Amino acid sequence: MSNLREELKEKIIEQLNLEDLSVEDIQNDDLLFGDEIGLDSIDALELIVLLEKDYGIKLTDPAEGKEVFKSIETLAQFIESKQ
Amino acid sequence: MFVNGISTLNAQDISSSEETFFGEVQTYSSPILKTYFSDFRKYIKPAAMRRMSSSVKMGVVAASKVLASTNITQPDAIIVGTGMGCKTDSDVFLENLLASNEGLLSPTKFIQSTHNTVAGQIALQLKCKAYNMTFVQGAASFETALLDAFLQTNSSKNKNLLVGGVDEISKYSNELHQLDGQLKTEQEICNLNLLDYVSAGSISGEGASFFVVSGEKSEASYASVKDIETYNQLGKDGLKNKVLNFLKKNELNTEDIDVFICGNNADVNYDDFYHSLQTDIFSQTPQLYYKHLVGEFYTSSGFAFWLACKILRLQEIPEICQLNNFKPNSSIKTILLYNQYKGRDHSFILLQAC
Amino acid sequence: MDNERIVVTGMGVTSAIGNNVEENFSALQQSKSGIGKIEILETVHQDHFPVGEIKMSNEALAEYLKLPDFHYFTRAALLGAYAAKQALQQANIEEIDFQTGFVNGTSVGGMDVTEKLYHTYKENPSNFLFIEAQHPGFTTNKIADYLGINGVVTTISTACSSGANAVMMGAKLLQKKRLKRVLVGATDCLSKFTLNGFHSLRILSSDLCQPFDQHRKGLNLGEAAGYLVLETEEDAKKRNQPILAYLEGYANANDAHHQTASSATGEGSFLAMQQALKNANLNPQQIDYINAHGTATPNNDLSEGTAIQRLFQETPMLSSTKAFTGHTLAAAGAIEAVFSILSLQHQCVFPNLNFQTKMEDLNFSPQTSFQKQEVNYVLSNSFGFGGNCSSLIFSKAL
Repeated sequence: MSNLREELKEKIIEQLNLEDLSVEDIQNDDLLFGDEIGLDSIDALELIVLLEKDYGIKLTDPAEGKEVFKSIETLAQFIESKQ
Repeated sequence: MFVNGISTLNAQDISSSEETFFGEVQTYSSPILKTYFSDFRKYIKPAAMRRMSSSVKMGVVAASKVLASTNITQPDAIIVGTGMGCKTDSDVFLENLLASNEGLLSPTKFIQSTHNTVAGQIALQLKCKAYNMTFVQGAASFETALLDAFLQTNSSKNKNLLVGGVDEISKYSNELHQLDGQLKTEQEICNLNLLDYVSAGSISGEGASFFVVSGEKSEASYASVKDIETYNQLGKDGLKNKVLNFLKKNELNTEDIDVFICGNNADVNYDDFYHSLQTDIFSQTPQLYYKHLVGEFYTSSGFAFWLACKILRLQEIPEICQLNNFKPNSSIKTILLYNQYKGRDHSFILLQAC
Repeated sequence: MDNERIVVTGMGVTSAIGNNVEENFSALQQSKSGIGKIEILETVHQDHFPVGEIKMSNEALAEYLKLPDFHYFTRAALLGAYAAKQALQQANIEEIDFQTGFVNGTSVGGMDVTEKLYHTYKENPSNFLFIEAQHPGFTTNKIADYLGINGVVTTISTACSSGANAVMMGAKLLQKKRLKRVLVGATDCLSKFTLNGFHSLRILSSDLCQPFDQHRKGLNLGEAAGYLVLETEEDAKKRNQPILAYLEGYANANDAHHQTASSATGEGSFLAMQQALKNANLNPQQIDYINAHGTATPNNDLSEGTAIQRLFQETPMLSSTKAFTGHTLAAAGAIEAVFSILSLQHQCVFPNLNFQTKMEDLNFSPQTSFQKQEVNYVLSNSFGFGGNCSSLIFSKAL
């Protein structure tokens, strides 16, 4: 279970080039698009690509994306629900 | 048009001192001259920097430095020249596209690939809503940006414009340039002896040079830009004609030129353009060159412009740039810059002390 | 605007709705869109995204232009030369001297060639001459060489506002007496690079685009080339050259909000339009018709629409012609300048195709039919990535 969360953190750091962050810096409940991690709309697009490429899940509704990408926890739960 | 602020980043250790040109002159034995400056974090937040390619980082930093030096927080225009734009990001997107056969692609590299990304990012960092332009015309990119500024300051004297030129090294471009004769194929080239390598191509560099210009002179003005001209194509006869007309138009003749700065880059196929003037109408003029210090790239003439401004301020020429043995007069008043690349995009810039 | 009035004495265009000015006008008049299935561009997305493709192969274009076998023209250069020739012919420019300049816009220039040859150079030395094709200046140089323009030649690359910016730069060169006449405009062709690039941003529509519609889903890409010949009024009159329209004003401003998205209040668009009006010495109410940027993306149309509402107490007649031609990137500002001038010449406004439902956030709807009416001043908008916003204002020739 927790492996997925760690894996997601690693992938996000790599894909979004978050050089200054390590896996330990990201808490499962941190708001990804809030002040803690500070992602923006371009990152949201990248996450959609990541979801499809690495987990085979296609996100077509941007509104759904907002909830799914809220935090590592919501993202992990979403992926688990699709498996 | 007056140059009130200057900054440059490239393969040399550019002195932050007002009294000198460079710190220790950097020598290279590879034909690839990467930028010496590395302290990008001091100027750009990590959140923004993580997406920035080399050209964007260099452009943003050079722009920040020059604005800080002139106390301008909001320029009235941002005008950038770049020959290759954000080449590396463009290549990454293209490579991924081809490798995945148009599969799922990351948007960031596509976004970053537009040529006006540097100018756009500078505006974004400053929240500057003013005129914003990007010229991408090979070796005349910086010159056209300067010309645009020149035309604007002519009508709006009190505006402060940010003008610059930037280009980055692209690994793949350099590989291809060794095939098509743009990059020298010798394995080891000492940049300081560049002109000894009489062969096709030159060495490759990268850098950003940014300036604050205005129609109004200030206490801190480095130079006055009297005129700029560009010609897409010229033969050697045409070149001589055009230079003489350019000077005549500005009520000058060749004897009035105190320093002649040229873009000699050791390309045996094209340096003749410079030689034709250097051995003829400017044979008695102190001649300088600069591409041995920073390499050849489409906007390397931005560094020449920086150099000219520094020379007018310091009233001396850097020995390392001397091409002949003529020394300038005690007072350096007028500098002519001439550049071209592969016989295209010839440019003349006339600067005077002010 | 500085003293001299700038006039248009020649126009040329090729787009999905026609290969010259007359054909384009005819299609606009008959509400005949050129957007359809991809046929020439080789892409895996052939059946997914409708585009405004010019149904002329590179071979056909090269033959028309009478190019030699090994011509090294990119498709953008072929389209550009094709349209530019028309403009110069109409303006009766027979002899090109150093007083004639060329300001070209292109966003990806020769990418159509680069994406085909990217990995082939090492094995095929015959492709070396295409290595620099990736850079905009290469395409511009090809067109300049073809036309014989050797003096002031430059390229502007500010994404989707490049064409409009080229018009502006040309006008400045004339006003400051750097040139006596200048060919200005832009060219962009379809490529896998841009198709996949916009797809990765999720702003391509798999249906026909619907500018300013509540249910718009994104843009359709297109390819085109459009050029104007600009001169001063004095020079045009001196040589008895018919004037097609006046360039009354222009401006460029930056949204400074986000790299690709526009601000909700449309600040950059607002400033560009406002400053263009000031430059032209006009009040908003004097504008009779707006050729909007109107790409049909959720973001642009809201942002542009909001800016228009902020500036105009009463919104003038407005339409986006991108449902005819597709979004032709750099060329958009240039071909839409041609369309704006057609509107003035024929005293009409063009329809905004595929419109069904008014946007909830705006208080206006676009013009949906071709309509003859008095048009004195037309405002044309072009907005590009990097927050680059440009507006041009044209007026009727007397």
